[in-house]
Amino acid sequence: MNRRSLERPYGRLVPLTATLACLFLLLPVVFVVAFSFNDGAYFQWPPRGPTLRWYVNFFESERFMTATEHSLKVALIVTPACLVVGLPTAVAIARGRFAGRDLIATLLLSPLIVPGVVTGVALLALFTAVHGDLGLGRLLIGMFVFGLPFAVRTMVADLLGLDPRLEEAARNLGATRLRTFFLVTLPQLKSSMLAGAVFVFVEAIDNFSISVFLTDERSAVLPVVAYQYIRDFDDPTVAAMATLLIALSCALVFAIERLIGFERMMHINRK
Amino acid sequence: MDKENRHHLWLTVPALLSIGLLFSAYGLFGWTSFYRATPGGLGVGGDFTFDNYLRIFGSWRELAVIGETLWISFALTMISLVIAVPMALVIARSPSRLVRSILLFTLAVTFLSGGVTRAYAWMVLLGNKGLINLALVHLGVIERPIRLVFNWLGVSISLVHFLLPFTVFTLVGAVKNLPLSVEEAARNLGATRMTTFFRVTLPLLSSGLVVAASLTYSLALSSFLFPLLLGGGRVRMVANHIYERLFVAYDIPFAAATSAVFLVLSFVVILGFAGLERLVRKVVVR
Amino acid sequence: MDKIQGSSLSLRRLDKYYDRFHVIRDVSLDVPPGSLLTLLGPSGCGKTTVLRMIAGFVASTSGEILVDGRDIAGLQPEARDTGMVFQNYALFPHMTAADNVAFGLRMRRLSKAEIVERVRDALDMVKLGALAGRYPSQLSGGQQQRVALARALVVRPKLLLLDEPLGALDRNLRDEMQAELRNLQRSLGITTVVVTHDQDEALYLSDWIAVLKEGRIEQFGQPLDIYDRPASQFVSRFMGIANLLPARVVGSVGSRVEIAMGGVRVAGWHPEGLAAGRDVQIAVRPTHVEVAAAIDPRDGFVGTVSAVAELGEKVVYQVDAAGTRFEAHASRMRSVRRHEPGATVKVVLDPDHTIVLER
Ligand SMILES: Nc1ncnc2c1ncn2[C@@H]1O[C@H](COP(=O)(O)OP(=O)(O)OP(=O)(O)O)[C@@H](O)[C@H]1O
Ligand SMILES: [Mg+2]
Repeated sequence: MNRRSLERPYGRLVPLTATLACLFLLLPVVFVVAFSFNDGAYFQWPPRGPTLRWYVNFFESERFMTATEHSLKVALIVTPACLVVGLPTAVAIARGRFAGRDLIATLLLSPLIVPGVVTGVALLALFTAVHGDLGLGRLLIGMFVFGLPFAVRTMVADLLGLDPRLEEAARNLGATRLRTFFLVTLPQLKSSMLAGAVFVFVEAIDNFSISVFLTDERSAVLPVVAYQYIRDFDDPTVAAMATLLIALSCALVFAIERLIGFERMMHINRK
Repeated sequence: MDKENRHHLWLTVPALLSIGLLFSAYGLFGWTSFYRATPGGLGVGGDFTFDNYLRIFGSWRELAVIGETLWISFALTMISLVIAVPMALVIARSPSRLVRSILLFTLAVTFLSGGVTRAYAWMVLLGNKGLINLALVHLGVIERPIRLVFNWLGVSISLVHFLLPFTVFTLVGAVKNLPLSVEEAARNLGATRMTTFFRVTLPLLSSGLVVAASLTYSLALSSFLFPLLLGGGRVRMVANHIYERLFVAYDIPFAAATSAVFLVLSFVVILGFAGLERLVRKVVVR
Repeated sequence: MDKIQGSSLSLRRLDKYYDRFHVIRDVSLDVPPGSLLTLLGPSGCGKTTVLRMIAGFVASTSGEILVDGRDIAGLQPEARDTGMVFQNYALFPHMTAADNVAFGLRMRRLSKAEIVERVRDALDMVKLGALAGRYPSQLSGGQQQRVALARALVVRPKLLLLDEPLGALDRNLRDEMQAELRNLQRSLGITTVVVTHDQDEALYLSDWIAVLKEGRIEQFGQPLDIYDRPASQFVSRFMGIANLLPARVVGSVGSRVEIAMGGVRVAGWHPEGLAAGRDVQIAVRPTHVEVAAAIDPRDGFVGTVSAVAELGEKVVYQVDAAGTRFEAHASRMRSVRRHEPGATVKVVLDPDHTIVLER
């Protein structure tokens, strides 16, 4: 008689699958971190090392360093831009009552289902046609146009879920529409703004299918350089880069947890 | 009230400009699909023609790539769903905050660590002398290393890894919306855990399942990086095919035509899923 | 439906910890077959937890749950043969009313013909025969409630468990459903446990009431016992006794206790009597406080009326006397004399309903 088993809503298969799935998800992440310290160009058992060789390699490679600089630049410009443009757009879509609102919403969100490659090639075709040789500007525009729908969508969903009575209460207490927005509405949008920002940021650093079309030798970014490096050299320098990206994503996750809590951001436990 | 809200239109102007840019790109690209590539270089010329489309629909090879992509994406979606449902159940229902956190953090870190990172890790892991082969040989499951990469198997494994977080995150909300008491009611009336799952939980989740499937499917359809790296040129999906048309054959119009066909297919699939979702909701949950 | 052979229910030293939180403490009680037990108490006292332990959704940390003398504490919920009506009914939204009711019978693998017949009977019993084909979303709150009840009863469970069954209904419907529930339970003879925080509902429905406080049984007894003879300040207050006043024991004979308040002696009741000189608390329901003329010959406290309010069927007085404030409820019948604010009056307590509580 095992009383504790009563409180399990599901049989053993559910937690077992979930555990295995977790291991499956973590395997490459953990592996690539370990591999980045392996003293040898290929994977071998038992591992040799540890070594920081690949990190040195990464930081001394001019290609990787320029690419890192480009990627960070794109992410740091595109993320705030998407938020600043996305927020008023989201408010208009969620709250506005004007002709064509639904059409605008549909148009705005439709790139979400267009494969990245198509968006990438299409933008490339456009830039080529207008002879727009903008260097990194091509990718900046591309990532902005691509990231905006993500930011707008998360914020619209959040806005629609807000309790309208809170804003009514603020208006009733004498706040103007504008003050109500900044003092009552905006603070409640924290979680979706953060979620949108994280998504755009990660996409701006990691996106491959658009970057590969909109960059050239002079404006190369990390994922493209990493791809070329894997193709041409194939040593754990990319693992070192991957580890740094994983560290960044861990930092992001912990920052989110500290700032608003992960379950809240994923709308798992709103209260 | 109405009057005030009309000002909202102005707020969308920057976004509309951005969307305008994107749609003119799509438009221009679509338009080129009705012309011919000029020999040598990335030019477009000649007369208006449906040739590119005729070439796609007249060639088994072209249709096979599209068909294969549709089929493999479907299979991967199903696999992801089967794994995602238990994960979503645990995240939404586990009484232990620690368990929930571990799952969420695993998903989040995987999700945020990026595609290149993961594709690369799988390449090394699945290689002939990679960790997986080594472990399988060591455990005596296989005698000598088997081919896990540069084929559909490797592409599928890595793609499930890529898709899973999206599927789970979409499903968690659906599970959260299902009151636990409904499942408890079934148990109280004599249903075992298994019966409850299949007769109550699953039917009530079906509309959420369709939504998750729709997202997973459209992501799978457009996968590019994973087949590129783990397919090693032997395995390609439509996105890779378009890329090759462009950078190997320098045939922009043909790439554009392929993209257009593919895009229409994606829209059809998504509309299909949306219709299915509405149907399921009407039939199952009233 | 046929009469059900009622089962006896006993809880023996039930304890429940959530991590370090001891939410159910040493709960024991016995209910004879066929009777209705109410778990009554304020929010968070553990009523739902006890009910869910009986149903099998919460694992008791220790203790026994005996149904007809058999311990079911280790059984899975589906093996316990209880019929539960959930707070928000938990109807299966993807099944019609009839399919909802049939679910438990299908799980028990009854023949098709028998299922059809019993579903029809059960729905007729709750007067929903005409709506058998409707889905839950097409039913009103009261109708959903009836389906939930039929669904729980149709399997002829050993116990019927209801968590705040009437909480979501409006006032009129609640009264109606209370009567219906009570009649149904009596006529079926099924042992029933109801969770509520509404004392009126508890008094109306129950054969037995367990008042819970912070996971413990504060008092267990029959409704009138709890109403007339609350065993503690907590129960007194929870049962709506507005006058809880300090006093001192002067002496006692059997259960009749003489007490002093503000220099005046009056009589009260305590089960065993108390030694003279003890500081105690008296609990008197406002309906047992009479506002009499100042010259009334009975023992009482002379004071001034500080407020009068007419509320529906009663007049509510506040009288300042004996250094404290009494609340008194009087009938609004014309024959009862009315007092104005500021009038000098005498407050007379009914000795049988003046409960003396140890402090
Ligand atoms: N899963 C849980 N984990 C930790 N504590 C819990 C859990 N469930 C209930 N509790 C605690 O146990 C106590 C009793 O809860 P219970 O739900 O039984 O109260 P209740 O009497 O039904 O209250 P209400 O009238 O508000 O429904 C509460 O203090 C509650 O905080
Ligand atoms: Mg409760």
